[in-house]
Amino acid sequence: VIVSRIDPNAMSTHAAAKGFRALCEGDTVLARVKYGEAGHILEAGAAQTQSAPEKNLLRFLAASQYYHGGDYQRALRVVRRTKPKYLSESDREKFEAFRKDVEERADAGYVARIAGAVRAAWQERRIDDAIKLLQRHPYIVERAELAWQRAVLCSVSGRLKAAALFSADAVRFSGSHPAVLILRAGMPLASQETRSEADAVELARLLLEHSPTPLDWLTASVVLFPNVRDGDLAAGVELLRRFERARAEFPGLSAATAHDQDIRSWMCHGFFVAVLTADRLNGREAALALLTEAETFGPSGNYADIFRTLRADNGEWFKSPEVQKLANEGPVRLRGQVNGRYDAPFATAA
Amino acid sequence: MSNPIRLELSSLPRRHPQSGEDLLYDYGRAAVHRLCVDPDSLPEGAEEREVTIGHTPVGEITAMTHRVIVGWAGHLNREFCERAGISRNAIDLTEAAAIVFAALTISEFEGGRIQHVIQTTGRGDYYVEVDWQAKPALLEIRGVLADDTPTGSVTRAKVQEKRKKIVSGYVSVTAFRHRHSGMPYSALCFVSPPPSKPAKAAKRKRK
Repeated sequence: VIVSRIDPNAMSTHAAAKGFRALCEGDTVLARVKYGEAGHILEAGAAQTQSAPEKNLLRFLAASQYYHGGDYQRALRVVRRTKPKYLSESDREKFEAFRKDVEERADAGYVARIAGAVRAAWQERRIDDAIKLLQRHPYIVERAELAWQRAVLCSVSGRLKAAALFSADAVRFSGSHPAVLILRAGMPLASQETRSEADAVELARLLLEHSPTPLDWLTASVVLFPNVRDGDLAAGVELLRRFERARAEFPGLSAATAHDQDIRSWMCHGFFVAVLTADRLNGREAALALLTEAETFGPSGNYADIFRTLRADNGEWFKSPEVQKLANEGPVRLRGQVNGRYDAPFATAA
Repeated sequence: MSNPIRLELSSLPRRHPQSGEDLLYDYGRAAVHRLCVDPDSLPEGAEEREVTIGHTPVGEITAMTHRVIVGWAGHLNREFCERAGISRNAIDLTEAAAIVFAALTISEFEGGRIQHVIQTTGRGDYYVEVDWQAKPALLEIRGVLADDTPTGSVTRAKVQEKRKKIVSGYVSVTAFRHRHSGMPYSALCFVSPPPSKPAKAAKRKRK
C-alpha cells in the first residue's frame, strides 16, 4: 500500500529483483548498484510522506536494501533515523535484530573479523562453513576474489562443475588478469594433489565447457600426459588436439597476458609435452618439427635448456629419466603456485 | 478427477503486469532450482512437476485441495542453479522460490496481482503488496525446503505462525518437498481482519 504510492512503477521492486539475482550469480558489484537504487527510491519516498508509520517503514525497507547491497554505512545511517515505535509489532522485532546486524557489519573491524573466520574454516578444512560464511558476507572481498575463493572451495570439496563456473567468473570479473588466468588453468593440477587424478582430468574437461582460455586448453592437454606415458594412444590424439587449440587461440590473448612469464612457461610446457606425445604417436620427425615450432615460440625460463636437451638427445625420450623429470617439473611448479593460493585465502583481498 | 490445472512460470508477466518480469526472470530461477534441483533432483529434461495446492478462499475456513502442474519450459538455467547453491543461503533461495508460488496461486485462485516485492532483513523476509479486487493487501510468504514429517506438520505450523502474525491479508506457505502429499505442497489462505467492536458496547463491558 505504502510502496505502491511512492513507487507506482515498481522501480524499487525491479531493482531489488536484479540485486537478488546478481547476488545469486556472485556479481556483488551489480548487486550493490541495484540494491542501492532500490534503497534510494524507498528512502526518497520516506522523505515525501508525512505519516510517521509510513515514513519509518519506508526507512526500514530502504536500510534493508542498502544492507543487501553491502553498503552497511549507509544502512546504518538510515537505521539510526528510523523510530521503531512507529513500526508494527512484527516489524519492530525484525528491525531490532536487523539494527544489531547492521551495526556489526558497519563496525571497522568487521571485514578483518569475518575474513579471519573464513580463513580459519578454510585451513581446518571446514569447507561448508567457509562457503556459508561467504554466503552471509559476500562483500568482504571484491567479486573476482570472491569468485576465486568459491572456485577453490568447490574444487577441494569435489563440486567440480561449480568450481569451473566460479573460476570462469573470477577470470571475467578480473578483466582476464594474467594471474587469475594462470590460477584457473592450474586448478586441475592442484585438484590432482588434493583429490585424484580422475578429478583433475574431469575438472580440466569442465574448464573447457565454461569460457575456456588457451591456458585451459593447455592444462586439459597436459593432464592427459600420464595416460599417454602408459600407452593410451587415444589420449595422445586428444592431447595433441587440445594443444593445437591452445596454440591456435594463444595469439588472441592480450599483449600483457601473452608476455607474462608464468603464462609463457606454461605454454612452453605444453609444447614440451606435445613434442613427447607427437614422438610416440607420429614419429621422431613430426616431434622434431613441433620442437622447432616450440623454439620459434620463444622458450621461457628453463625451457630453453629443456628444448636444447631434447634437440641434443637422440635416445629414447620416453625412457630418459631426465626427460621424465622435466615432464613433471612444469605441473609441479604451477601446482605449487596454485596451492599457495589454495592455502592462503585473502592474499589479494585488499 | 478433472485434469490438473497448469500453472506456467512463463505466464507470470501476464498475471502480474507490474512485477511479473521480475518474478519470472529473477526469482523464477530460484523456483526452478527448488522444483527440479534441490531438495529433489528431477531427471534431465524435466520441465514440469505436479504440486498440491491447499487453498482456503476468502470467507472459508476449510482448505480446498487442487492438483496443479507447474511448468517451467525454457526457464531452467543449470549454471544459475550451480552458482546459486553456493552463493546464496538456502533460506533466501527457498523464500524467493516461495514468492513465485505465491504469485502463481494468488493469481490463479484469487485473481490477485503482486505489485511490490522487497526483501527486508537478512533472514529471507519479504514485504509484498498485492492488488486484490481494488483492495491492496499484504501477503505473508514462507518457504519450507523440505517437510519430511508424515503429516505435514511443519508446513501447517508455518501457516499457523503466519496467520497469527498477519492482521489481515494472505498467507502463502510452500514446502518444496512435502512427504505427506508426496509432491511439493503450497498453501494459500486469506486472513480476515478481526471484527471491530462497537465503541459503546466496549464501554458498557468495562463498566
